[in-house]
Amino acid sequence: MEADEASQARTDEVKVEQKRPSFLMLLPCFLLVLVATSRLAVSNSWDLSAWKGGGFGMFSTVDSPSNRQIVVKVEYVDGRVFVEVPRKLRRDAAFVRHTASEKAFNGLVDEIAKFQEYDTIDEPHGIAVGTVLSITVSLRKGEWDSSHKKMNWSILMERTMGMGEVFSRRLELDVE
Amino acid sequence: MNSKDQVSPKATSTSNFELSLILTLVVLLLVSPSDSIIKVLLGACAMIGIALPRVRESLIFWCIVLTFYVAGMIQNWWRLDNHVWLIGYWCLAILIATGGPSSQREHVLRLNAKWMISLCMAFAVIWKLISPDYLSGDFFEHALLVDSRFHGATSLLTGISSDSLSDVVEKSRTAATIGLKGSVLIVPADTFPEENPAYRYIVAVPDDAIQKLMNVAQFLTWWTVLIESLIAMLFALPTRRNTVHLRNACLLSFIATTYLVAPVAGFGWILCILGMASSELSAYRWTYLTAFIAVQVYRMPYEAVLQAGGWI
Repeated sequence: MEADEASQARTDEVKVEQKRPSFLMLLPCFLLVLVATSRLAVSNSWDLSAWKGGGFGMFSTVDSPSNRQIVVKVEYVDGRVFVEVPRKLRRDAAFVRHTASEKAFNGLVDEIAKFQEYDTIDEPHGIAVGTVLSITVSLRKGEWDSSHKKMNWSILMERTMGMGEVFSRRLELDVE
Repeated sequence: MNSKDQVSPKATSTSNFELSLILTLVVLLLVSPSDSIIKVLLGACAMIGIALPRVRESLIFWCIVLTFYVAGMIQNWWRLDNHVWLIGYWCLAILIATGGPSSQREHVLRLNAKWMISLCMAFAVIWKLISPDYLSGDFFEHALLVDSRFHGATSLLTGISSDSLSDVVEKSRTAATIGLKGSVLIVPADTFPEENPAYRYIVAVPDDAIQKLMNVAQFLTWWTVLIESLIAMLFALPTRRNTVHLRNACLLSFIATTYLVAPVAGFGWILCILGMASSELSAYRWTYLTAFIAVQVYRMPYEAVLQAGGWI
């Protein structure tokens, strides 16, 4: 009797194990494959970092968002300074670094040019006040130079806005 | 197939399902796809779920959790780490399991967990194999030097002090931010070059450190491909007694070694939960639970602890 029950239980167990999974049951896995395959398929035509987008490309390339930089250079009458992306635009800048979207990049440059004050990041030059000649914003991508053990930075996108575009305004640089 | 080879689902206690749910809610407390109000709402849901067993096993509860989670994902789709996607798929799997008959719940989770592990590892391997800077070893060389998450391991394995590594990170960041005129050059101390305008910042390291660094980078490059491929393959195979032990051993080795070098807790935690849920044998439940805790323990600054203790 006990042997029969044990045998029946074993049969049930095998049935559970062999039950054909339905599409709904494995929907999360199908979604995973769909997203990851799509991400792989567009990897050459889309500059979204391989680390992002649900493709599981993390730890596969140096080209992570943290190795993409937005560089803002302001040329004014008496010289030039590198400035930080204004705090209000940090999220926009992060979006550009992650996706390298041209449209978002142009939008970011337009917004950066509207600001009157910037935090400088180069060596202090004292308070600099002068007429802006141009603002250059670039998105740069780092590549590891193994033979020299250093990063090389290549420009993915760059745009310079001349004086006319920034309305010939005066710039007050916030330098410590 | 010989039925003796087949692993019985009844070998696993039903509380495997329970524990997977609780740990998932703990992860949702700590990892959120969003920093906005959604994070607060998800955190509140997670706490309610942890406190109330009947709630956490209900379909409606997981519908709410998944709604908040997906809303957070949509908000930040472009910056989500891959483990955030994986947690999202896993929450959907739990929703499907809780919506089905109770006799099938554990089976649904087990099946999804098994395939999710296999698939995410397979895609990770594909990305590595198509990436030239990964195959050349450049990725790990760079990561060991410039990614602060690796610095504990770098310091232990190459002898480069943590101060030098912090110096590399800081100078690299400045050099990058001010554009092409500044690059960080890492050189052995005995070949410290004369003032060179091409390199604005120079970090000197012990003489043999660069060779050690390259060796470690090569080892990590191929070890990672090997172990990820093995896991992808073993979890894709049909469940038999010998493959169960082998695949759990591989996944546990991966968690134990990878997250010691690169403490990415979110991924480590979800892998532990998936490993536990996919396991047919209850013995592994506690091993994965220990690994879950170990992933958090790995995050402590063990290099600084060893230094303070005078061991290195």
